[in-house]
Amino acid sequence: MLEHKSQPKWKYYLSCHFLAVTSWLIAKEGLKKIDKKHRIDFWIGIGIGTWSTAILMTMIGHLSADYLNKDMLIGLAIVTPVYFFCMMIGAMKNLSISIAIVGGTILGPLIYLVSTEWALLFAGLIGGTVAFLFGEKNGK
Amino acid sequence: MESSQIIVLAIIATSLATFISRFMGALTSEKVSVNSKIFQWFNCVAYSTLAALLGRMIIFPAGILAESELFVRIAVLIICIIIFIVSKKNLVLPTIVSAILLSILNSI
Repeated sequence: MLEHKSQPKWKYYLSCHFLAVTSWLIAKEGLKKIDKKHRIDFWIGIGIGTWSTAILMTMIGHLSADYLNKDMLIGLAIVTPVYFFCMMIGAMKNLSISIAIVGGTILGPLIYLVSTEWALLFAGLIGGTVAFLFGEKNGK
Repeated sequence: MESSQIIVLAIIATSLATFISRFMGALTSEKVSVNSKIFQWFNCVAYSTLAALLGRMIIFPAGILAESELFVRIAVLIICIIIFIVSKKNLVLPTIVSAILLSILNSI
């Protein structure tokens, strides 16, 4: 997706640390419009943008934590799962991804009842593999 | 061990884990095609694992979120997903609404 022969290798090794769900989705939206040669630079730009926002907001959050009451803190704690759920629903573009997401959501808490440590790994592997095989069989 | 030392150790251990896997990913990325079967399978597993984590966070939360009621959390999630779909996939709106909504519902 990003590789181009004229670009130096260090850019790839350095910028792999920018990979996160948000930056991945922003990049996927914009990449098609960017010339292949400049894609890695575009990616580094996204990475620096998302990182600086995250670091700044972490500092603000840390400083303001003492001034928030308990209900506000609980309210903020649900932001992460809600944000990710919305983003995943936005990513449901084909059958196998949709099954993977729905399957993982159900299997995650279900396997957690049996094993707290292995729930994520097993739910991911089972849900993902079933989704992949189902997508293969139905031609996506 | 003091708690501050444990935090520093935890940061070092998790950084090493993510650095190594990212570096290996960058090294091997040239040989894996985006359209290959193994890439697509891994994509499904990644989405499924993330979904499993989120499902667990809502139903069996750790930390301060555990002090809210389960049906309230599920209600907030469903309302926010509806807002997300209605607002033509606007991510900012449901994120902000979720925090405000849970704060209000939890205080009454």
